[in-house]
Amino acid sequence: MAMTGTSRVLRPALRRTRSGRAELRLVLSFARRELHSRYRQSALTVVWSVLQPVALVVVYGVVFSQILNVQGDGLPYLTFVVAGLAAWRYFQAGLQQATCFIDRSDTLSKVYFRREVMPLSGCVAALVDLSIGIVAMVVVGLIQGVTPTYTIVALPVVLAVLLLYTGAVAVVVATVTVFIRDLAHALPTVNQVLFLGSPVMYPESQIPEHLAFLGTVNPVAVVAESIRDVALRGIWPRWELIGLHLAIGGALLVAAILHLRSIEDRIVDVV
Amino acid sequence: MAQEPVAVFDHVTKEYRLGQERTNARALIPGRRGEVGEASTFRALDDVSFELGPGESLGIIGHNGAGKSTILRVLAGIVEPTRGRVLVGGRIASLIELGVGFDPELTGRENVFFAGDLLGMSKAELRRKYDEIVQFAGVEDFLDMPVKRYSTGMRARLGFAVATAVESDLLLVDEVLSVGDFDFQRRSLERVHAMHQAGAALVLVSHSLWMVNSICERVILLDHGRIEVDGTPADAISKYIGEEPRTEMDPEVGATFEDFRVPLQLKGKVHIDSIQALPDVIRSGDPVTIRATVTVVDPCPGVIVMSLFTSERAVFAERELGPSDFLSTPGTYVVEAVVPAVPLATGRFQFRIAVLPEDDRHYDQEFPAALAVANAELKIDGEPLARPGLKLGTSWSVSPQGESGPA
Repeated sequence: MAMTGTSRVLRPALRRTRSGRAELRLVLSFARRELHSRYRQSALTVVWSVLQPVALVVVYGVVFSQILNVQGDGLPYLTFVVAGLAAWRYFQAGLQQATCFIDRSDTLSKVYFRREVMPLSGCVAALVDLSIGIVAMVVVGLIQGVTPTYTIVALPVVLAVLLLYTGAVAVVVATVTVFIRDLAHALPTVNQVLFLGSPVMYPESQIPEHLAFLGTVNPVAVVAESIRDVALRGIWPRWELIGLHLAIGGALLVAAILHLRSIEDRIVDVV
Repeated sequence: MAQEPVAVFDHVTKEYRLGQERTNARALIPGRRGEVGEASTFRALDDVSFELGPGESLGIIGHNGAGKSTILRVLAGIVEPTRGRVLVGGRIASLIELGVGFDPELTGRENVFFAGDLLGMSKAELRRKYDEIVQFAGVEDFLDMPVKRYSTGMRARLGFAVATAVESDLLLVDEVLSVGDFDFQRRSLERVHAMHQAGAALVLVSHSLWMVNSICERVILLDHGRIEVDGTPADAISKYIGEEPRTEMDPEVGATFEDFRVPLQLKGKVHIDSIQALPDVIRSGDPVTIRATVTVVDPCPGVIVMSLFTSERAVFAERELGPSDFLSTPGTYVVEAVVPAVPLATGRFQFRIAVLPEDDRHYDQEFPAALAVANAELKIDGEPLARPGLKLGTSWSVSPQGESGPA
């Protein structure tokens, strides 16, 4: 049973031996577990992940298009909103990872694994909702007479921007919340501000001139608009912008993970 | 030490912040260690140093809060020491808590695979071990049931089976052997013992002194985070008992601790196949027969004892010694113990028959070292009584003072 005789070189107890592949498997494992237990108990199971955004879309749709008279910038308003919400809800799932360490403190304090596994697995689990959102966008589009355009082949690149930023945000908010608990209370507000500040419910073209930079700086804005462009409007994304955001998002994700690794041993003393 | 050690503690100190958890933004800045030192702190480990050789078995004893579990967590790489250096070699299996990461909503099967990933087992390794895990846990029929519907024992068994499936050079065990029923305790102890025999070093944290004494070659006594004794089980345990009057071990007069030391021989050499109180309902003062069927697979030096206690575990009779000769000849026997007049008042009682290793009279009431144990229930029917108790068969008399005794 014991592996005596194999390479038993002394190492610091805190230096990790688990391979990168094993960590990746653990990310998927956590994600699968979350999805399983999220839907295991409810009779409508996956239907809920469709119903929730549908209800949201109906309410926002009525308020924005009927009352505030917002237009979809060349797209039927409902299709326009569904496309924006798909991106937004994924980003939101990243923000919701803030309490993931605190919620699972029990597991954290009993077994060691790379701590970024937890927030990242939450992001992986949310990919299911993102996929549903994308499918919903296509379906609603077809119902409203919008056929997906061939430029949709660029969609994976656009979504990669979203994934990188969301992963980075998830790791950062999860790490910071452990030590600064107030963040968990501040996040709903941040969430609201980001939501209303991004062209999810309204088109980028309605942002006034002096605030137009928001549409370029804010990754959610870039992604939401680019999804509509490539999937529905038949316009290629602004490659230089997408490329820049890919680089920044990737760098942020790597930085967030490295930072977490450098202080991860302190987490278990605090959660 | 001739061979390279599997674990080294080099002047290790671990401090925890006391009091209200405050926002600590500075902890987000990498590269600073020992930060907690400034506030009022609690020292869980205070300058602890020791080395553990390959295949060695080390017990850690001490009061609650003496730092026993902290040592295990530091070894497992979960907790970072405030000062000092900890080195480990080889692969580590930790039984710090059973069923870590189990999700109550998921089925037993799903949880086994999840826990395997969590403990760092490879897919191939897990597949190879899967049947063994399930079989050890005894949950074959419940694999597709959510774990939340498992009994506490089933969950513990499954957790134990997964955790010990990890092939390891160093096994960390924290008190987990005291959960579960008798059979589980025996089997899990057997498993830990087998892993140790196969060459894994063992660190065992326990309040059960007999267990530490039976399994460990070396014992560290911790007191408020400091090593008080690092030596033989006898040294550490006597020091511990000396300062702690309430002990789990019977301080038999004249017996040394070496006398308590019984090598583990827990293989299923004897089974109690059935046990029954005949009749199972009697009136106070009636005779009762406890009949057990005992199968001796391998001859084993042992004694058979009977105990009697209430359902609340109050003991009325402890370890009445029975015959032991038959234990040296394989075969199936019917063992009967006749109690001529049961001196009990109304209530439910349990007779327990156990086969103990010879000279094992000193162990805990629950007999974790027993070779076999079975309980038979007995109900005394009659006048209702507030609590189950003895029927003394008292005769009463009343007479005026001055006239001595009844006429």
